Amino acid sequence: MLLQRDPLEQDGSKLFPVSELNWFSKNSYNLGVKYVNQWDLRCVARIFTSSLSIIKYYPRDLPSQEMDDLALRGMFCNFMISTAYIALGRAEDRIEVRLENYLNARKYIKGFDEELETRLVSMVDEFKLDLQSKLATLLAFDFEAAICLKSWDDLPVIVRKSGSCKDLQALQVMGDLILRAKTSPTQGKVPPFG
Amino acid sequence: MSESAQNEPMTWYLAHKLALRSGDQDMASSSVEAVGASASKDPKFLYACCLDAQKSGDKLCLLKALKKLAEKFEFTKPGDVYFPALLRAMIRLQVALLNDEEQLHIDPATMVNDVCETFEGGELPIRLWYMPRSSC
Repeated sequence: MLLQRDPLEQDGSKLFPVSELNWFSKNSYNLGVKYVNQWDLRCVARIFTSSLSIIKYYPRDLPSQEMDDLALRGMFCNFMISTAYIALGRAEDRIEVRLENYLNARKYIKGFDEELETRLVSMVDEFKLDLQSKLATLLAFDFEAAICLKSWDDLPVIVRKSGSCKDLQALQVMGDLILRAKTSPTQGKVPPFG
Repeated sequence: MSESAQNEPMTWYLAHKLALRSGDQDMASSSVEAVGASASKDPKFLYACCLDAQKSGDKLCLLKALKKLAEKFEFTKPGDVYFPALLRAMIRLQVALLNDEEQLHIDPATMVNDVCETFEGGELPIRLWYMPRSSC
């Protein structure tokens, strides 16, 4: 759950002003969007992570439109961060750093998935389609990361989830990835698919 | 505290003022460092350095003074220094410097890293806001 703050603290004290939370969360997000193609990917990941980290401090009783905006912003942050980490993982030669990048990617993909699941029921169709398509993309990345991390048990789970997204391309990508993993001499034994 | 120690920040504040007038960025930088390093818990000296730097129009010197203020007072609960406003000022400057094509001697990668760092620092005042009063 992205939002944790109760509207009233136990001692009745005031909440950190929402206007401030908005300034930091929105401005970091906007900078990330503006410079995504120019900045070092690690900085892209950092700036979106900053935006995301502020979201948990918002009160939970905001008007529903604002709550929806927050959820969307959070999901886009998760999407951008995980995509950045996948790209960083692919470009990285040092094995420990590569694994760490892929691990981070998985963490933020999970964040996207969990938030989407919570919000899907109440969401407008126009957003649903776009977010489900983003989820399909992320699941293909998750599959790639799971292979690299040798998290074989996770693979069938990811494939099942992708199936429900009904994105053929994502499934084709996964098929391609598993074939390459089988034939790659450095990957070790790949268990058969259940 | 002895009189000489009390006057220390004032001396360095004046040195900072002079450095700004003569356009000596290195001297301004080391002066503001010294003001920050003084034992004084009063932010007024650093505030004054910030105001002077702002008046001088030297964005880099202003950023340095604001950073020093932030460094010194980042762990204080809302009181003398309203931290979010300070961070906002720093971010605006950093973004302006990033976009300023005339600032040729600034390494853009360093400035990008700085912006990220400042935003990351933005979580601290929020956490401090919610810290139990009993910890004071």
